Amino acid sequence: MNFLQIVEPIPQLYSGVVFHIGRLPVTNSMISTWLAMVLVLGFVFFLKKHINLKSESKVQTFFEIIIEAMFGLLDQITSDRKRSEKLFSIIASIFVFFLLLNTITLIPGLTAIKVNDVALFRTATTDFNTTLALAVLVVFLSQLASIQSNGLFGHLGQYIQLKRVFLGFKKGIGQGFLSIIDFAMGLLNVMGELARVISLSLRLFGNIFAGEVLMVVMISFLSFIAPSLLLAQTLLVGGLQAMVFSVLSAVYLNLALGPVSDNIS
Amino acid sequence: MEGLSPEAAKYIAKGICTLSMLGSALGEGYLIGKALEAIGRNPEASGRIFPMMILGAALAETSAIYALVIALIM
Repeated sequence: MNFLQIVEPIPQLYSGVVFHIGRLPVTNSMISTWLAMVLVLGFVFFLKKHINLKSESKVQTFFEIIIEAMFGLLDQITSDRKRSEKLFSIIASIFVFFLLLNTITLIPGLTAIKVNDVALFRTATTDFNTTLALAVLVVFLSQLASIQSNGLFGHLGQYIQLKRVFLGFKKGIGQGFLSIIDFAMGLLNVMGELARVISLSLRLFGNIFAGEVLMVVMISFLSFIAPSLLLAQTLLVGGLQAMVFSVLSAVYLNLALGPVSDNIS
Repeated sequence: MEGLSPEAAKYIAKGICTLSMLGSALGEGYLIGKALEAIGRNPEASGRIFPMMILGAALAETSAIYALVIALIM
């Protein structure tokens, strides 16, 4: 009997390489990402077949309720229905994608499949590359949205506030020196964008990875009932973190698009 | 400081990392307490406050998660 002894290996930070395509290593987190993509696509085609305007099937009503709830949440952030409709596709797909990635290894037996002693599937969000890629994508998109709403020079002006310095010195020397502080703050905004990438990606990665480590530790000393509760918690945390990621990206995109009243005029 | 091996220093650093959980716990407690207060004052709004509370709790957890990531990478 070895109580309180970790018998399974603690999950590694890096994912295992399953095979190579040319010189590109294909890792198990990539494979599970592909699985998630296939599942999402299959689901989309399934829904597309079964959905029409007049139908009153239960499946359709169910998904309509879910989509309405998502719209409600997005409306709270953007406070404008038109903008919600604009952002909905990207935000909802990020949400669904991460929800699937976080919970895909809860399918029984999926992690037990091994090829050359490397598990074929792994929770893709426990690989930092996945979350970093999506965070970079979201911040890059918010930059593009900012360029779209402010123009290229207006967008760059948020970081290099030469206009403010110019106007400040026009008013007087004292104002001019104060505006130099504004200029430095503008340069700090660049760091802010980088911090967004890091915080968005690390939050998701850390939560899911911590869940995996906790699971191994729990299974080693309470192997019968407690892990099932923890599995349920994994489901909750996976959904919650997917929601946090998508809500935050909605907030960033909404901020980049500027105030709503500008759009109407 | 002669007897302190790098391995020991690493474990001490990991221990210091766990201090960040103090801040996270304080923040989360404050947040949930305030949310419960708000629900107590206005029970009809609980449907709107509760999701925001969960979201805030997930955000407040972040600093502890950063510490965990640092401790795991070390």
